[in-house]
Amino acid sequence: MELYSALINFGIPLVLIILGYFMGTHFEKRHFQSIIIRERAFLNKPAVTFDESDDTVFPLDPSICDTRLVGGSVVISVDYFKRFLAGLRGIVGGRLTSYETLVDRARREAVLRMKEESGDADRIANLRIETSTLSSGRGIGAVEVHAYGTAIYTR
Amino acid sequence: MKYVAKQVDASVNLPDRHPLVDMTWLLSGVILIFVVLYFSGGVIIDQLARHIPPEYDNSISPGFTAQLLAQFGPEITEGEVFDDTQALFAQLRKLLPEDDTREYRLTLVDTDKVNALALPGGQIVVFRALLDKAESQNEVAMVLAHEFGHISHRHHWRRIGRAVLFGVTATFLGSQSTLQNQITNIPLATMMQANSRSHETESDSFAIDLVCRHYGHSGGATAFFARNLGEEDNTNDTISFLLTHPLSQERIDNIEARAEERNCSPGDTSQWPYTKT
Repeated sequence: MELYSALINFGIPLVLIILGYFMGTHFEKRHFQSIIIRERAFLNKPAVTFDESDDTVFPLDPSICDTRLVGGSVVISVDYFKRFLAGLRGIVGGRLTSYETLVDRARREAVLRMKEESGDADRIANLRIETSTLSSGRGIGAVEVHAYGTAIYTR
Repeated sequence: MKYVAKQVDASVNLPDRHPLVDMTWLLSGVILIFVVLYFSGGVIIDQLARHIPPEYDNSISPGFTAQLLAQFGPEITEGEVFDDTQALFAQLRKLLPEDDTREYRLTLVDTDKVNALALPGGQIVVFRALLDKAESQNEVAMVLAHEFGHISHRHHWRRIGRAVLFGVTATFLGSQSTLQNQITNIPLATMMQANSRSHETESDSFAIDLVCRHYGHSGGATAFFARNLGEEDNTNDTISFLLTHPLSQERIDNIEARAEERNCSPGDTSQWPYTKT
């Protein structure tokens, strides 16, 4: 009886942690590789945070033919290992490094998706990034990042 | 100025330490904190428990223990075994120190488990199967005296105190995730076991003293344990007494050494006519 309850209480979370670690690491690695490749491809489409329509700062580019709101959003789930690590970190405090990679991936992915949505835009101005958590009961279940900006199309 | 696109170094946002290294440090740190809190708290609780007056046990309502008792099985309230065991219990009770003003009660429960236990409030419980297995009155007296020892040493208060302390610490630490509870539970469960073994030793010493005073010799005191030695690996719950009161040759040796220290030599055992094999 005690053996079974020990297995359930200790074994299941342990399996989930190990599974979370290997699967999580695998997916994260693959995602980062894809992000780096796509970031390189979009290198010539900068996304900037300033507002180009403010002609007191920037003289309006006469070649602009169109502007459009573009956005990209992504939701990435926390794996069990990250959640466990974050739980431990929550006791003593300090950098929540297990979530740092998660948020970084989400942010970069959202910006990339926004750039993809902008099609043949020349650049994206007024970039804004919003982060929110999608909670599933206890703790953070998933992180959502939404990046949006004004796509500028030139002749 | 012509704009030239450049790849930026995005790794500044990424942790520089491997997550497994992070986990190892965190986990060992948290377990250490837990162990230190638990042990230092445990020492304080043991000290405090010493000062709980015996009368305090009387404030525990019989209703509380009755609830627990009901879980074990039907109560035995009459018969020769009942009368003889109660009589033995009363004789041993008289030998307790005068300042022990607890209202001790003995309840016999009709169940096939071989077990005896002490509950808060001076309540001692003996299961029928234990009385069946005993081969002399001295063996029963030793078991009763052992349970008197638990109460006299306030082991129930110490256990309750530790359980509360454990619960409070685990709740604080586990407020982030229930998983931390489960992880920290494992070594602590072992420590609680070790702790209760020290309680067993204390109660054994108390019991042999009491039995020696009652009979004037130590005959049959360790016979019950010795006979069942080696059965502790048996997971059959009929011998749960041996599981909750872990047996070892060392324990028997301790009891015998204590008896010798008190010049309490082995003698003839008294009859126990209720043995069933």
